[in-house]
Order: sequence, then C-alpha cells, then structure tokens
Amino acid sequence: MSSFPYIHISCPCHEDRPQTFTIDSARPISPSKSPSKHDFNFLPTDPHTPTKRRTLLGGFTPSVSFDGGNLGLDLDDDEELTDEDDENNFDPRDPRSAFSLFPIENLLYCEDCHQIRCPRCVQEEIVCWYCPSCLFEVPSSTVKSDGNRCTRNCYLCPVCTALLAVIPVNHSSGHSDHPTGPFNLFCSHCHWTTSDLIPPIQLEKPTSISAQLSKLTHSPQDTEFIRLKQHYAQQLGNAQEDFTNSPAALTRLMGLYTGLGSGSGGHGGSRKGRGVKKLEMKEVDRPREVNEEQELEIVERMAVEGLEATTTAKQRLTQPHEPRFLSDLTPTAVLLRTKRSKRCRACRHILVKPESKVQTTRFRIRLVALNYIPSLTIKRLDSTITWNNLTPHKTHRFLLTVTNPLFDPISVSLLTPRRTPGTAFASRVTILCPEFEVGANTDVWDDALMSTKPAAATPSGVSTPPVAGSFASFSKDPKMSTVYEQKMNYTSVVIEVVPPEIPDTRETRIRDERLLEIPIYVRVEFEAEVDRDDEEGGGGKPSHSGASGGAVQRERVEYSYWCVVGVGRVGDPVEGVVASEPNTPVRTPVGTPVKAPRTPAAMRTPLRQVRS
Amino acid sequence: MGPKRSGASSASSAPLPPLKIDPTTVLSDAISFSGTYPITIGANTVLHPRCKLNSTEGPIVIGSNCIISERTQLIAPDIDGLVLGDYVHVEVNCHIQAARIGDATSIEVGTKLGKGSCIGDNCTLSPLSTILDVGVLPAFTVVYGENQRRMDTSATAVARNETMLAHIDCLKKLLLNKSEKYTR
Ligand SMILES: [Zn+2]
Ligand SMILES: [Zn+2]
Ligand SMILES: [Zn+2]
Ligand SMILES: [Zn+2]
Repeated sequence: MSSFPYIHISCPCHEDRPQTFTIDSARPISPSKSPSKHDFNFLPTDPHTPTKRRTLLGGFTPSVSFDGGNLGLDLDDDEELTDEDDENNFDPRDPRSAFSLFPIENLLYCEDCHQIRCPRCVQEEIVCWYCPSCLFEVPSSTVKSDGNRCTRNCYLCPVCTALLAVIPVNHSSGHSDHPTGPFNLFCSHCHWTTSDLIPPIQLEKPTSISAQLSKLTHSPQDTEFIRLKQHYAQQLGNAQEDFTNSPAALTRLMGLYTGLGSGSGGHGGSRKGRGVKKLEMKEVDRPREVNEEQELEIVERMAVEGLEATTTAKQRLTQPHEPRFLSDLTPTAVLLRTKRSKRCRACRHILVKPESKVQTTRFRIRLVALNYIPSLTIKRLDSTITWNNLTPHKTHRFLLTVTNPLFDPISVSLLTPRRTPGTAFASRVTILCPEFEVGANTDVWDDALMSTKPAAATPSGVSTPPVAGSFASFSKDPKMSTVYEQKMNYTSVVIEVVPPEIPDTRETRIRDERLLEIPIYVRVEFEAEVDRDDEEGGGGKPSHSGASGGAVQRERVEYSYWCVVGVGRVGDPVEGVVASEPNTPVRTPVGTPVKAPRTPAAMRTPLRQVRS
Repeated sequence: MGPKRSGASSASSAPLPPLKIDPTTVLSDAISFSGTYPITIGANTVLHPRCKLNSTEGPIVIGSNCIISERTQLIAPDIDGLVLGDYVHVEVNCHIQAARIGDATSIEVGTKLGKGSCIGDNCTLSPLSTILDVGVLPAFTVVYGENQRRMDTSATAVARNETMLAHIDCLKKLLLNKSEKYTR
C-alpha cells in the first residue's frame, strides 16, 4: 500500500444521495480572495445517514473481509459505542468511502458549487492532440482520419519502446554534414536496428519516415483492414440517402446486429417480410483464415530459432500484425497524447484549462483544492516511532499541522471518534487541542522563506521535546493542552494514538486489520469579506467588523470535510508494553470524548452557513 | 571510504597505491585511490572527480580512451585484479567488482557488476542493470529492461568509439587535470 503517513481527504461525492445546492448567483470568486459567506449558501443534507451506513456494513463488508464471528464482534462494538456522534462518524474502511479518498494534491475545487471535486466528479475534455516526441499538434480531424499516432518521424523501438534515431547504415568516418543513405532506424537503448528485421528495412532518406515505412512494411493485416474499410464505406455510401430519421433505417440497423441482415446465413428469414429494397447492410462474412501451411512453418521456425527469437506477449500485442518472431517486429509510431480541461460535473464550470499551445506547460485556469481548503500534515513527535511497526498499547504522539491557504485567519475544530470506527480492533485516538486558530496566509514570500528553513520549526509551545517513556513531565506541561506550535499560517497540535493488539490478517483476509487509519472531521470557520450587498442575508445581521461603513462587510463562513490519516501499521505486541487502560496519559477522562461534540449538528452538515 | 575529502587529503593520511599512469590521462580532483596493489591507467583515459578505485584485493588495469564517471567504484575482486579494456565507458554511480570488462563496453548509470563477473567486448548495460557474481556476458550482449538480453547486430561499434573520442576531447577541455597530485 501507500507509504506512511498519508492524509486523504474525502470528496463529498461518496455520499449516496446527490446534494442539493442553492446557488443564488454564479458569481465567480477570484482565488486571491477567500470565499465569502455568500459563496457558501447551501442547503444541508445529511451525508451520513446512519441506516445507510449500517446497511452497507451489514450487507457488504462481511462478504468482503469478515467471517461470521468477527461480524458479530463488529456489531457489538458498534452498539456499545452507539451515541449520536458515533453514527455520524466517517468510516475509512467503508467500501463506499474508499472511492472518495484522495490526497489533497489530486483534488480540485469548484468555486461555484463551493465543493471539493475529485477525479470522479470532474469531466474531462480534450483540448488538443499532440505528439509527445516532436511536440507537434495534430488537428482532431487528422486524428479521426489517420489515427492516434504521430504521422511524422517519431517511432519507438518495438523491442524496448525507446525512441528510435535515424542513422546511416554505412558508417563513414570523418565529419560529413550530409550523411548518405541508406538509413536505419536505431534504438540507442537496446541497439535494435531496422536491419535486424527479415527482410531488413533500409530507408532512402532520413526524413518523411512514415511515408517510407508504410511502403516497406505492408502486412496482410493492412490489406484486410483496407478491404473492410472499403466494404463498410461502400455500404455506408449506398445507405447514405436511407440514413435519415426514417424508422426503416433504424430497423435495418438493428437487424444488422441481431443477425437478421447479415449475409452469413443461418437466418433463413432474413429477407422476408421487410420492405427494404435493394439495400441490405452486410457484415463482411469471411471467417478468420488460418493457413495450416503457414502455421506449420511458424512451428518449424520456432523449433529452429528457439524461444529467444520469439516476441513477448507485450511486444506482440502492441503490433497490429501480432508477430511471433522478433525479426517480424516493425517500428511503432509514437502514440499521441492529449491536453485536457476539466469541468465540474455538477455545474459544468471549468476547473482546469491548460494552455492550448503544446510547448507550454502553463494553465489558464487551475482551481486546485490546495488553495481553498486547509491542508493537514502529520509527523512523528518522537523519532523512535516506526510508521510500519507501531507498538500496541503504547501511546504514540504525532504532530498534526493545519496549514491555512486563505487570506483570512481561520478557526479550526478537529473532531475525531474516540475509537477508530469500522473495526473490531479500535485504537484510542485523542487530539490534545482540538480547537485552535490558524493565521492568515498573508505574505507569499514570507511563506516561501519559512518553508526553506525547516530548522525554524522548533517547538514553541514546549521547551523540551518529549521523549518516549517520559510522559510524566510531558503531561504536567500545562501548555500541552494548548497548541504545540503556532506560526505564520499554520498551527500544530498533538494527536495521541494507542493502538490495540491486532492479529495479522494480511494473509487470510483482503483487508489489513493492522492498518491504522484515523478519520478526522475538519471544521473551519472564518470571517470573510463580503464586498457587495447580500440580498438574502445582508439585512438580517449587522456586520462583525465595526470598521466598515457598510461598504465592506465581514461575515462568518463555515465549512467542513472528513479526512483520513493513515498513521501506520500496528506491529506485533512488545514485551513489557501492556494495556494501561486506567492510567492513560490522556488528560481528559476516557468517558469524555475529546472530539468536542459541542455543535453536534455540524457533524451532519459538511458545508454550512452560520449567521452570527 | 569514510572521509569526505579523499584524493589529496587521503594521500597525506594513507599512502597511495603504486600508480602507473599514462601522461595523457586526465585525473580529476578528489579521486580516491586505496589499496596496495598497483593501479594502471592507459592513454587518453578520463577519470571524473570522486570516483573510487580500490586495489586492496588485487591490481586494477584501465585501458586507453576510457571514461570513469563520478561516484563510481572500481574494486578489484581478487588477486587476478580488475581489467578494463579500451573505449570502456563507465557511467555515474556504478559499483564494479568485475574481473574483466571487454573493449568498447558501455556501462550505464547505477549498474552493479558482481564480484568476479566477466563482461565481453562491445556490450551495453542499460541503467541500473545488475550482473551477478561470476556472471559472464558474451561479446555484443545488450542488457536492457528487466534484465532482458539481446545480441547487438547494429554494427555501430566503430561509430560509438568515435563518439567516445569526441566525448573525451570535450571532457579534456572541461575537466581540470590534477594528475600531478597523484603522481608526485
Ligand atoms: Zn468526488
Ligand atoms: Zn512526432
Ligand atoms: Zn530498443
Ligand atoms: Zn461546480
């Protein structure tokens, strides 16, 4: 699997019900400013219907990874913990959520829907076709007529897929600027040349290779293709006048595929009862011919030349004539590539638009989620922790950092289930300071300078970095209940994880029970500027900031999302480290969850507007 | 080799192995020579900075018109030593413990040649190839992809040797020759 740690953000599209939005205007907001309250006008729907989740868990999960006994355990656990919040917890192991979890780098953000957009909920459109080797743009009409390969001079080695170069067959010493033919195509990686073919291919000119090659490498398959193309073009030409919107044309088309119209026989009544005159669409009714003599010849040749002279399946399948022998391989023209723009599936607005010029790698529009939602990173507080081998019953401390991309300061609440959901082997998770502020992303340059000196990231909250096994001093530090570190536009808090003993299930089940994934619900609140009158909400409450004379209003915006932190894998139990349920180093009693369900309603509304 | 600054600085701490170096050879700065067996380097050969030659177990002989790149280690496997032919190009970050490397063989980035392996003439080893200990590669073998092999029938050996000479000419203009440092 992926290497630890990882943080994946859940795209709202994993919810089964489509969301209802009320967007009162398609006002685009510029990336240079934060989304305002106005932009988050949204009718909340319940994303995690408990009954739905239950059905999934009871009906689907067991068939994937559970045997009966464990299923019972799982449900018991659920019941034991059942409270309102637990039912709304995001289960990273739910089969449905697996499709919606992406690293933040893969996510886009629609400014009109005010939603994260994952690769599943965007629509791609081809901007242009181009050859990755010669960087020439190919018009889509040419792609339709000539196929999706470069028709210039770009060819790949059929043996190793490296790019072929043109070299003169007879090497002439000395520096001649105009080498004379004939020429070979030569692979500088595996030293394959077109002279290795039987018969060898040698080109007269070092240019217009496609034209020369098409004359030299003409396989029976090409002839067959041309024949088929002609046949269908003729049929289509004949039928052109009939291919109007008449029902007869449709019947005939359908007949083609039900076999009634085909000339292959077997359907005696094909012609009867049909009012169509001379026109009958026909499939080419020739079966694939296997020439016994040819096949025997191949077998013989294999016996003589041995296995080394034959092609691999991969080599064979990339060539239209499926050659059996290395000496029958022909150079492959380079496949064209595309530049694509991406649209939001919900509102059809463009999220990504590359520059249409092939040579430039710039984008005209690129609404990446990284610029809109706070990003999380996690690192070890204690360097003795090995991500792939977490010790059961030991308290592991990690540093969770929230970085704010917005130009307004935000207040963040991190909510996490006390026990990781969706598994019989739940780990205890505690976020020591679940509510905190993150500064505004004010100066881009400052930010850049900060990131170049990671040495500056020394803990400001704690004087001595905590060491394993010394949490007496650690827990006495009163500052630990506050944030660990607060800088520019990021804030770090400590998260404690106590994994249980978990049997290794990698061999016996599909799912890895030892994988420790923590769902965290990130709720963000901030005051954003509203730079114009809001007919709907503007009249209700006065603006927060007293500074405004009515022109610039500040209003409260709230939104939230689930993310999953892949902390690591739990290892084998370690001698001496045992369950220490009663005297856990967690400050808050076990009974009181630190997930701070102060606003339980927020758990059910991923994107919600608060009028304050 | 532990010390960061090898070459001249190591010369002061540990004695250099006996070197037999052609006057036309280009030895860059900070080459690490270690061991006690003699090291012989042929004419017109270029050694990049920070390549390492270890003759603790046996002698090392490098032919003429060769290029040995940065961070590449040449280690003599045994008393019979390591012998490189002419026109041998060893790229960056290779680990060579071979016994013989034939003429006009090209060894690309990050290749590992096992202890006592024998590479024939005109071979090409593509990046990150590995040859096992005492492995034998016949002449004109190309190792590519996932340790696949094929015979080189392209007849480009002469052309490639010419390219090598041009390459060496260019390197001679770019690299500072510090031969006298090692041959005092
Ligand atoms: Zn999505
Ligand atoms: Zn091309
Ligand atoms: Zn090739
Ligand atoms: Zn949208």
